[in-house]
Amino acid sequence: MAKNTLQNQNFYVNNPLIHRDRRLGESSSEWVRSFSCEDLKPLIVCRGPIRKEAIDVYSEMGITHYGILLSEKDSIVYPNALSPELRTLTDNRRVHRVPDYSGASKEERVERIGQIIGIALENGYDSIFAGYGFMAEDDEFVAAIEEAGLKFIGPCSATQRGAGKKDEAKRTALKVGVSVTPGIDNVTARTLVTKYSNRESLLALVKSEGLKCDPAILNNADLSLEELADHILAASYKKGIDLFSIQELGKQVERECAAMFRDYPGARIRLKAIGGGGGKGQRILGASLLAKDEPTAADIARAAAEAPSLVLEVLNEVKAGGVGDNKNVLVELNIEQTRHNEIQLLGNGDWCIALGGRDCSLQMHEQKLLELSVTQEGLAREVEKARAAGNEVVAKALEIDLEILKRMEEESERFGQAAGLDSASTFECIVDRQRHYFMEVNTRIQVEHRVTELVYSLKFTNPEDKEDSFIVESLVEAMAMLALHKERLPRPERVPRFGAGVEARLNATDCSLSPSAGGVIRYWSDPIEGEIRDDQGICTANPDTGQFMRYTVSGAYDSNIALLLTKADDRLASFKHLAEVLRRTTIYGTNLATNLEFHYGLVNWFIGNNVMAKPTTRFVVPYLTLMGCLKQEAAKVDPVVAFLSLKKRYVVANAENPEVKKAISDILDRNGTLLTRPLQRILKDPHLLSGWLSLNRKNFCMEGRKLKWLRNPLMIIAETYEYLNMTMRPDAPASDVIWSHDNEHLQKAISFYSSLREHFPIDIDDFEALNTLLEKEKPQGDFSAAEWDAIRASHIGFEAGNELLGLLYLVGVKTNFFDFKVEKNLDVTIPEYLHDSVLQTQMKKMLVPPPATKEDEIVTPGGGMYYAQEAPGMPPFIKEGEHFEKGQPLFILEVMKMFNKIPAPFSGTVDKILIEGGDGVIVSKGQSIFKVTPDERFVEVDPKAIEKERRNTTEAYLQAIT
Amino acid sequence: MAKKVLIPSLENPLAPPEDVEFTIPGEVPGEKGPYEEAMKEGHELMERPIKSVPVGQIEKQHFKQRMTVWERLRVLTKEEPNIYFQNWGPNLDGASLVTGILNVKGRDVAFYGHDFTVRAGSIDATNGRKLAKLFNMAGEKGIPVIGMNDSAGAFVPAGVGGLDGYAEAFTSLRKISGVVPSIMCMFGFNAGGGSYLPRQGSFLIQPKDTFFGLTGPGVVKSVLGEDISPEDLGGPRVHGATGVADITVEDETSALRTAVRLLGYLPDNNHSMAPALKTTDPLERKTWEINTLLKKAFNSPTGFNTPFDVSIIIQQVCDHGDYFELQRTRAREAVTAFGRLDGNVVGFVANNSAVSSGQIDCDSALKIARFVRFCNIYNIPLIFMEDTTGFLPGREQESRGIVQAGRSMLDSIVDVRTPRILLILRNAYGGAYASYNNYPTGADLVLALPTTRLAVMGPAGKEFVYKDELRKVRGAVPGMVQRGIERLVAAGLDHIEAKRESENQAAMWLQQEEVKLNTRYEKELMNPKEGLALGSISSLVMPTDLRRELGRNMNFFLRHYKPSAWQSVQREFH
Repeated sequence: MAKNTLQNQNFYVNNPLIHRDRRLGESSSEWVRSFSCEDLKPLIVCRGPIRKEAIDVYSEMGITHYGILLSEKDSIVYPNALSPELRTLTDNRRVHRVPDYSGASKEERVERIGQIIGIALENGYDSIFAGYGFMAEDDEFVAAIEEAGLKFIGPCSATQRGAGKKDEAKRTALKVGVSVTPGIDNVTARTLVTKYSNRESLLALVKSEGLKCDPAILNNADLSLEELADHILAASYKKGIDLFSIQELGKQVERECAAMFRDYPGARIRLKAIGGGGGKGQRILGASLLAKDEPTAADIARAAAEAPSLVLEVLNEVKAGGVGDNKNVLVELNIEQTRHNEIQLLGNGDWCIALGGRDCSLQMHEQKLLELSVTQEGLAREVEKARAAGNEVVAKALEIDLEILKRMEEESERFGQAAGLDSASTFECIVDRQRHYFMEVNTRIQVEHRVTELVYSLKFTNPEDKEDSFIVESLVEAMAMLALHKERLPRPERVPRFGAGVEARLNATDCSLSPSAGGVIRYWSDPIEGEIRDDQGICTANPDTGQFMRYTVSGAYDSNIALLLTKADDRLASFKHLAEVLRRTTIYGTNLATNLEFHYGLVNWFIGNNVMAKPTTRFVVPYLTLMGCLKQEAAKVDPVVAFLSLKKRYVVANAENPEVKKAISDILDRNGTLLTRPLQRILKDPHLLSGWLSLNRKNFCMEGRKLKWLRNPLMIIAETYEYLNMTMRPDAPASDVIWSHDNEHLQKAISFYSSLREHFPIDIDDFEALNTLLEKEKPQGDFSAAEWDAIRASHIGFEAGNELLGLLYLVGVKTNFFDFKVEKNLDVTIPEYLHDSVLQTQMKKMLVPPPATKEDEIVTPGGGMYYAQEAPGMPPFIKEGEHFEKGQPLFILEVMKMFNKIPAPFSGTVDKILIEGGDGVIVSKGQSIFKVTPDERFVEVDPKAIEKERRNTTEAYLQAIT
Repeated sequence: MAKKVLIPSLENPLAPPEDVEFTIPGEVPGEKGPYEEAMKEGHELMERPIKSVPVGQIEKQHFKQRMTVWERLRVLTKEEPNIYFQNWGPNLDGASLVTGILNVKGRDVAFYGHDFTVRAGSIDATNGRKLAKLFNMAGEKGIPVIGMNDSAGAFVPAGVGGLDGYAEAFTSLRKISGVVPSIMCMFGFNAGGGSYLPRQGSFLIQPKDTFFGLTGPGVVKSVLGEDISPEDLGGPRVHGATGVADITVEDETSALRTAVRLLGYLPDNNHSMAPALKTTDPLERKTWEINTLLKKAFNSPTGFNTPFDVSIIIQQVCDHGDYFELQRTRAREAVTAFGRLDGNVVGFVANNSAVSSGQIDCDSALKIARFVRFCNIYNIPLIFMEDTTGFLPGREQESRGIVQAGRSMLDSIVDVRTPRILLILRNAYGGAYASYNNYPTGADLVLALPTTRLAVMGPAGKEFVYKDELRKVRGAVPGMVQRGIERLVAAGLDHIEAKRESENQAAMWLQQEEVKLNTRYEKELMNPKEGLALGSISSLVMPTDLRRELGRNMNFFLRHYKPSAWQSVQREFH
């Protein structure tokens, strides 16, 4: 009965891991009650999963007067994409709207800040929560909120300035002894000094521009020129003028880069705009120098020459290219073997507490994919475990991490206190073997904050009474509490919650992790126990019908669909549970691509190798390249052909005895779908294959050119069905799970072998021992001759054809899959060839073949009038020689006064514009507009030849398994 | 030493022997007599349709990644089906067809499914009658039908009997058409009668990797010499584009789940309303997103001539934004969809300017006609959203019979007897306006957004309205050219050059004058004013109030509507 209730529990709306009654006002303790937040009136100004989380947490805290500010950009361009978290919030008065949150220009941003504050004041809100959006780190936004007498749920503007701006943060870090990377944090000041190279000219500049500077500083002759320049620059930002051009800044950066390339040969340099984050506003240069130990002056000059244009790009990306914007760009050494670790911080301005770390190394193009908790307690346990198992190398490797974590946590707390941190922030570091460097502080809650929530909770205790305390399990809750009760909150104690937490970001990306927007989610299975699904409310059923509502993944902002989290006692268990979560997540959709399979493969790769491995941020791209190699090889094997050929071999081998021949033929028929179905699924998806190979690597070995089974194949088949989430589930559609006759057959076989185990003291999993036993013609144990024959006959029957599964392992061997591995010291070895950018590009195409076309012209889809641009006076959509992406508008076709933008049917380059005459020229259906060269030309292949090659390869594979 | 010969087996010799003796379920076994004998035989007969199928047949079906009919049933509902005539046919095996009553979300639904594992689900001399009996019963009781088609066609050994079987089924399905709605899922490979029969039903759902059509690629090859794959001949891409399939889906499971979803919008029969569902979405909800959508479109560089996706408007109006689009891969310049408004099922018919300017062509006209007729027959109220510059002209359309197709749409709208509202979004010109649910064609209410441009003609109308003005400016051109030549020659240009230059100038002037008239036309006539003054439009609505206005008006009309079977003179066309 109890089990039944658990099964019926809806973990989406009622999940003990994230949902609880948070109303402190209900407490019996007066002290606890005094921290109640029911009177807080927050306006939520963010999108994504954090918006839903804030709604949930605030409701649970008993906050009733909260509102949501929607950005009109949010969901308007797609049907079925209406903010799903609003389905249950039907009070219109709580939903407010602005065109967007941050504006397109500086002026618009300032205007928008005013509007947002206006909406808050007009509607009786007293505080603003900005999630993890751009606005959350905008010190001007926060300052304006503070000035308007509202509370900002997040770090105050002073902290934002001191810790959020990268240059300031680095200076603070140096002051309090935090380890930082070599680099230059004041290139703007240096630019100014280059332009005005002495005190006198700098002071003259102050005068001529009428800048308001502190006389004490101007008069301080001891101050370095650069410090003086910094001060003058600050005044220029206030005044809203520029003291140098972006070109001058670019030149300065170029000089600094050249110097750094000389000092650190073989390294690249990273440029970061101070307002950047999340991969935005950053560029890396010097790739050409990577392999050169002694670059020539010309090499260096060439590499550094990239700098000015990159400076312009990063400034534009963070919208800091306008007049009067702070254009400082950090010039840092790019550390090549990096692991990305970060420390969660929480403070009230007085105290600051570190809440363990998160390892976010598994990322691609700076977008995080898998995030793991790192705690001192957890690492200490793993060290102990390794030592107990006599594995000193692993113990040492983990001890290094433990030491680094301790140092990072200490430093982060020092930093937080120095910066007056009064809410949640993240202290980001990179770890390079036994050293770590501070990178930046994100003065906001981060996407992956729940990883930390799973491993630590916060215990606030009454300083006057040790027994009087309360627990906070949510950082969003803690932030709201800090906004209201800042000074009064005592320093909490961090209490270990679960041993390990892990988060996978479910994104709308294809098999090669490229964004793939526009798909529709039609069905998403319910979350399982122990799963947290932060999906912005997508799974909120239609409140009237209880049915899943279709959702279009618009990808208007980023490709994230949901965050999937889980926890366990240690990392291995948490990975195994995450694997179960991913396995049991079924998403049906139309044109929908997600990275669910990628995650499933990856998590199982770690389970099969070592979950304590130390992958770097360079892991994912070569891993994907390997997936491409797998797919290429797997495509050559046809399981059905293999099965039929195998059957033929069996029949031929038993040809002399018609009775045996008939029996074996029938038996193989019974095995047909059981064997080929999982093979077909796995061979089709390299991510599934990767996970399967990693889990099963221990079950096989090669003996010469023959495959040897170390485990009973039958058990592996059963596990493979489980791996594919295809075990018998009566409530699932039959086509989603093992066919009933296959299941009957499999269960019978399993029970046969487990009964056998009762009679013989052998490990049934030990296939060799099992075979040796059953090869004996003389009855064994207490079986009669007839019984023994029957047992042996059944063994032959149950194992007939199972060797087919070995094809999968052979694909792994053929692609050198197992060379990509975790070493004893937990480092990850990536075979060199996988770093080859040519192969990487090839394999990306292998994973997701780009649409090829035979066309070399773009023609009109219908008759009408042609226009090259959207409106008179605007630039044409495309010019000769320009490249276009699929879906990009190429021209306008006016049909009965409707101006239809015509999207490119494929990607390519315009060679020549064929259409003659200007705007408004009449065109007929199918008329050629452009002569083009498509990116991917369709290559005619003979399907019969491919089929033949597949057949031959499959036969060759069979040689090794039979 | 010769190896001992063993006959491989799939039995577990270590398992305890299974008790194969039959007992009446639930009864304590006692002494056996002839009564028990009869019971046993009866029990075996009852199980025959399932048990008599050799596992090899089921494996064959599964090898094709297809489910058996019994497995499909389990996707439709977890409730046990009530099977009728399970031992039909000379083999007492149900004759490769399963029929009965299902409980789908509390509603009685008649269903049939071909059992492909038995003689490839073919129709023989008698099972056509079995099908007919099911249809007759569904019509009599007034319950919807779900069909799961997976049949190789007529059973050839049955001879003409198989053909008669089809004819019998055709006839009875036609007789319940318009009485109870039916949803047909197409599985496997169906040809000939196996295609016509399901298409007689109301809605047809086709998953990928299936084929249906007149005849398969083999016959096409032998008769016409055409080499074509089943996919290209009768796959979902083909049928989804013509409307032969109303819905195309990924796989069998999706097809069955979609059928259940669709059923939620359909009434049991032609004399009751579709099931209403109480909603938690307030009718007062402001439709801000519509406002944003229109603002973005109309303030963009292409102004009032910017296309937009009308389904966003339908979504915003419906309860919780949920709606169900039909024939979405065919002629999407018109969107037809079911949705709920304040709990009541409503049919939406909307011009979609995002596709082909929203121009109505043969396909969209027939798509609308079909949908409107269905709603009309089954007492489903309609909301029309108008935004079209008209019917698509041209040779291609005329040669395809646009006049007949457009007429079909017009007639279907004239015929509507259920509550019906027209909402004009933007363009409503000429013939398209006249045929699209206006007051004279029987609309209960015509509402319009302030962006409405209701006029006899689109911008081309200036030719008629400003005939005199145009004649004047055009007439002025020759004189202008002449004067220009004289002036330019005087200024020292040679005659040919002066003529060219002067003609250019005059042409530019003419263009500017015409643009002025264009703008004047748009300002003076392309607006809702005349429509309001003449009572062609009842009132204007703000984009933010669309849900409330449409909802409360529809509720009013529904309060005074009684569902009934549509009884009227049969018109010549539909």
